Order: sequence, then C-alpha cells, then structure tokens
Amino acid sequence: MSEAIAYYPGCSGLGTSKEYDASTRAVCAKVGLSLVDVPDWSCCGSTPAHTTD
Amino acid sequence: MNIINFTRDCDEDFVHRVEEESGQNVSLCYQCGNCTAGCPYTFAYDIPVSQIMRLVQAGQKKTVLSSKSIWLCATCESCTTRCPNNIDVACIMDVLRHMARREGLAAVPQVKTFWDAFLNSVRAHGRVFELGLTVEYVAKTGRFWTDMDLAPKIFPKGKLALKAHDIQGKEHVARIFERFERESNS
Repeated sequence: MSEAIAYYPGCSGLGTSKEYDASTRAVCAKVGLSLVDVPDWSCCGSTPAHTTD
Repeated sequence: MNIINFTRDCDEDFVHRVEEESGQNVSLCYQCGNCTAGCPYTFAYDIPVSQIMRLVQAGQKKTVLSSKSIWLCATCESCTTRCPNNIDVACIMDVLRHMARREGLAAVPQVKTFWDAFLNSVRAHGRVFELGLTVEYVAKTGRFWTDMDLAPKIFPKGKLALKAHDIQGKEHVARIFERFERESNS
C-alpha cells in the first residue's frame, strides 16, 4: 500500500543538510511511502526566529 | 565563586517577567544539572544552562542578560527534553535572548548579526539564500575567513546554491516581518 505523505524539506534540506533529504526520500521510497513536496513552502524560521519575539 | 545576597540583590521583577513571558515556573528547578549534561554547547558557554536557571531564580538580571550563553544556544531543546520537572528551559533561554535584545545587549554580536542576516534573507526570498546571507554577514562583521575552509568541501556536493530561490508567495512572508516590526514598535 502506498500512502502519499506531505513532505516539507526546509531550507537546510535543500542546502547544507541535503544528505538528510536524500536519505529521507530513499528510505520512504523503499518502505512504499510516496512523498509529495508541500507546494511553494516557505522557511520555518528555525533557530534565527527564536532570537526575536 | 560569586556570593549572591538573595534579600538584597534579587531583582524580583525580572524573575516574574521571565516567568510571565515563558509561561514557566522557574522555582521548580532544583539544580539537578541534567540540562547542562545534555547541552551540546556547554563547551562554548560562559555560564552553563543550569547556572543560568539558578541565576534567574536569584534575579540576577544583568549577569544573565549579558551572558554569551543565551546567544550561543541553538534551541535544540535537549535541556527541555531532559528536565525532570518538565521546565521548558529552551523557552526560558529564548525569552532571555528576547529580553537582551530589547535591552540592546548581545554578548556575542556576530551571532546576532548572523541570525539577523538569515532573517533578512528569508524576508527577501521566502526561504534562506545561504550565499546571500554569507555576503551580508561578512560585510557587517568583516569576518571574511570564517568557515572559508568549508567552501571547497560543500561546493562540489551542491550544498551552496549560487542563485536564490524565490517562493511565489514571498510577499506574504515579507508582510509577516512588516507586521512584526509595526506591532513591536507600537
């Protein structure tokens, strides 16, 4: 059974931590989960957004 | 060792404001040290996170808000996860950073410059553009050689985009920043 799951890579997922993105996609493909990228996603804010209220 | 006179030196208003802004009860901390034991940044902190908690209890506003630790914290939340009393320690660190910012304090100014450059990049593109962020950071700090040794390692892996990716709804993201500025100044 293949289930489509919304996937949010995040800025780093496409940049400095792209290994994690590659692993996530590879593992999900193996276990039969199809990932669908959230269209036109924006930055989550990550640590920098925690420096301001 | 610093000796603190709780009766004379405790800024109770500071303690109350930290509790109000974080929604945490700082007196629940009994100094077990689990947060410090799990914190990946203790090696770089000037004051370990468990001692920050103790200093907050003791109302030591100036010491806490001028510490480097609150700017080196990566908000990984190991402290929060490990606290046996369910104190959201990372949230308290966030609140302290916000308070320091409001007081015009940043004991590690280059960290603040980096985070601000990151947010400026998100404001412009909707996502961070790392090369653009690096240019702004270097221009503002003059730290040209910071992490330069990493560039030849990450370029071939395609980790550093040469062009910014602008999302379609970037103006909506910019509007969030504008509303924040408007409402935080009023």
